[in-house]
Amino acid sequence: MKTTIKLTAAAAAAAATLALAPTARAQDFPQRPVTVVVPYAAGGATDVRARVVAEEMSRQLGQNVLVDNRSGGATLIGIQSVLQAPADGYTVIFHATPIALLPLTHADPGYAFEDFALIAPVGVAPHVLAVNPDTPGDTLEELVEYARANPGALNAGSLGGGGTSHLLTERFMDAAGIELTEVRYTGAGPALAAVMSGEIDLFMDSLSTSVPAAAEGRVKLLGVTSAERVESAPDIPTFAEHGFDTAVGGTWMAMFVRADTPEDIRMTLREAAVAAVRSDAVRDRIGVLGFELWSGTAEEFDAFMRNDYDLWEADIRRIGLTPQ
Amino acid sequence: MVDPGGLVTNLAIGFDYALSLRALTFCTIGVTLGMVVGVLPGIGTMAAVAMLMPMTFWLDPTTAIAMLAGIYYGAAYGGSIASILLNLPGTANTAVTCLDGYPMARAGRAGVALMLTTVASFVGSILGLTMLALFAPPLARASQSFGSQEYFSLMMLGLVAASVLTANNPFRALAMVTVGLTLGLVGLDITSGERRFTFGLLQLYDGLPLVALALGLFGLPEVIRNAARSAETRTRPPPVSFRSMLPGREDWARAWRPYLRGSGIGAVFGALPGTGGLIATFMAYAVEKRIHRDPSQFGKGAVEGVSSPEAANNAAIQTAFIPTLTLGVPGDAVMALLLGVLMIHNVSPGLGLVSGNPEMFWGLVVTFAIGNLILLVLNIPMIGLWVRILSIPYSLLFPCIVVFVCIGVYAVRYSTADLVIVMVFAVVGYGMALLRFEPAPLIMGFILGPLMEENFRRSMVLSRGDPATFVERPLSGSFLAACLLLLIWLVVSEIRRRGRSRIDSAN
Repeated sequence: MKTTIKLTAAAAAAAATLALAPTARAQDFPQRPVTVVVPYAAGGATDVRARVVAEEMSRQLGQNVLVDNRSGGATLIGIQSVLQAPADGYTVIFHATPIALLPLTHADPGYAFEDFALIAPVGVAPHVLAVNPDTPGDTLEELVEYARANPGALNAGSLGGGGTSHLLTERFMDAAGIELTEVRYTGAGPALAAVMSGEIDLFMDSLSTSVPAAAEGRVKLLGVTSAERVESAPDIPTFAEHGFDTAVGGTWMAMFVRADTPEDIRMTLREAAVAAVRSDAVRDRIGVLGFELWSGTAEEFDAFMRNDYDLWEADIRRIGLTPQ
Repeated sequence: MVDPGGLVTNLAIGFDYALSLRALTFCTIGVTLGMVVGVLPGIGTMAAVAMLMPMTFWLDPTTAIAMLAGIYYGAAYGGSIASILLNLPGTANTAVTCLDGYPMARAGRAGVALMLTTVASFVGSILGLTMLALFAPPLARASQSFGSQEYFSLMMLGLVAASVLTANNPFRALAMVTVGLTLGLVGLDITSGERRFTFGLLQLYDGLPLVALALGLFGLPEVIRNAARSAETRTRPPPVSFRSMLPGREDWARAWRPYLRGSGIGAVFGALPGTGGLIATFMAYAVEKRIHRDPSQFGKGAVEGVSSPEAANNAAIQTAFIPTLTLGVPGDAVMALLLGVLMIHNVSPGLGLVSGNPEMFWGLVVTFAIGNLILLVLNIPMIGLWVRILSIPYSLLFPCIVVFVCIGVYAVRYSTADLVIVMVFAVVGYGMALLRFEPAPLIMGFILGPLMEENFRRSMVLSRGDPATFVERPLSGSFLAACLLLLIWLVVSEIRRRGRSRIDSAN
């Protein structure tokens, strides 16, 4: 019975391959709608950006670009669904930093980061250290001084092992030589609210939520993890300015296909995606405070991302995070 | 605290937005869609809001929220219809309405129950909205002083109170809560990241899916039970005339106080992040049953048992906007989706939204009020239409329900594993029904379990491992003391009851 099904499936697959064979060339691509898999539920920050970019991409490609939300399993369900689809460029994944981090933090992710090839970068967002106004220290130096004098006394919000917020907090602790107590939250919203209420002292948040809270005086922002100050929030000093050179990094967002996708198809997709990300329509609708669209080339991003991956890997080894 | 002059100005700003053709159109679309998804069991509010969310991308943020919120509170009106007519909660929060609404329908009073719940929903919404409008800033400040300890203790109180006060058999209910808490352990442990009871299935990483579990336990067992009955013994519902839909003077006299009490309870629970309509309905029901002269009427079609929870649910939905809009802390999954919509549109919740963007905040308040008026009009003249659904032959209706349930479960995240889960829990639910174990406490334990665990473990980290933190904090300590009193009362009254029955049998 099983064999019959397998044989039938194989025959069908072979027939499909034959039928599609002439179309698997760049000049003919795409012949049918392209699916962009978003490994998060509809309405989240990633989904929103994916939809805006997908809409512009379909204009560039002259084909529908459909968003398919495949959430769950710590985004592994979406990631694996892309690897199970044929390497024909019709299935693209729109994901953020976790696509690189999961193989490092997860015991059984079912893929390696090398299984994916970059189509195009979307943008990068640094994190910002949001601190309760009553926590001692109005500058990074004062805060670090206090933390050194009272090891483990300050509570730092965390979203769980191996996330960017967690790893950036660890980078800061390492760079400053301090010890903080890690307190887990299930989302950035509750963690920031806990900083505001004083339940915890600090949290590595995204700028889009922390900057408005700081404007109301409910948190103080002591440092940002970008290499240079953020254009839209120039008052926040960088960690590097204060001598914590290694506390740099952030979340990035990009599109990938299976690494074994033919190169000409990848380049067609890249051209469309890069043009979409640079279009006015995307810039006007995607610009969230602190999230900067990638202005360099895709190749530059590829190099940046691979370097980033090595840094995360070193972090995870240093703090001794065992893959779960 | 409240500045009357400022309020008038703000309401004027709100009306200016809400009476625009655009706002009225999308508000009407939202509440009508809400009614539809509320009435159809199996298509949850969450799935409906999520499915329609991409459609709001081209709207301005205020209109987008006004429409999606309309689905939410519209579904709360519609949800009670399925609860009353079919004993199937149209939405999870209207589960309590089954307890007395369905017996009322069986007694030929479906029309009265529907009229009473519609008015309850309206009264609850308007009172909840008033709370939202008047007390958004102060209440936000009050819930801000809640720490993890308070959330843990409050949820504990919610579970204990719901089991002890609402269930027919409190001991069985506590057992079901425990089963629910255990099922809530499935998934990734947020503290260590370890996988618990996932059996290597990626679909279980985020825990058992709530929609599948709820529909499996509540929705399908009723279908199986009815299908198991032979066609001859099944009594068809009697036709309901318009006259019978009008509640009598006695019904109104019994309903208006529960309306107000339910609204009050709902308003408080809705405003606290992490709790919400579900706990509010259980609490409201418990309170009515406790203070009633004759609690034995409950479960047999008590007017109070449908009036108060419906008011509570709708009041809670309105005040749930307080933490979402002022703190950015959503109270439930639907609110989280609405928060996501705000983020799409670059609107950050906080004082900046409430006081810095009066057109949006007050525009929403007034639009919600208008939306509720539209629902009142939609429900009362059309009430007879809903009753007629009951006369559709079960042989047609039940396959449709099963299909709707499957679509609803599948639509959440396009997962076939969820369909298997819904079927497994349908069998479990049917077995529970045969053994007279109620699914509602199980669902509550399941929803609150992970939240309680999270808050418990966080409290323990914050106190550096000292459990005394839960009783040392006055508010948290009082919640736990209330739990203890409830349990003592349960045991004492059980001992007394057994003592009495022994004397009775000795005589």
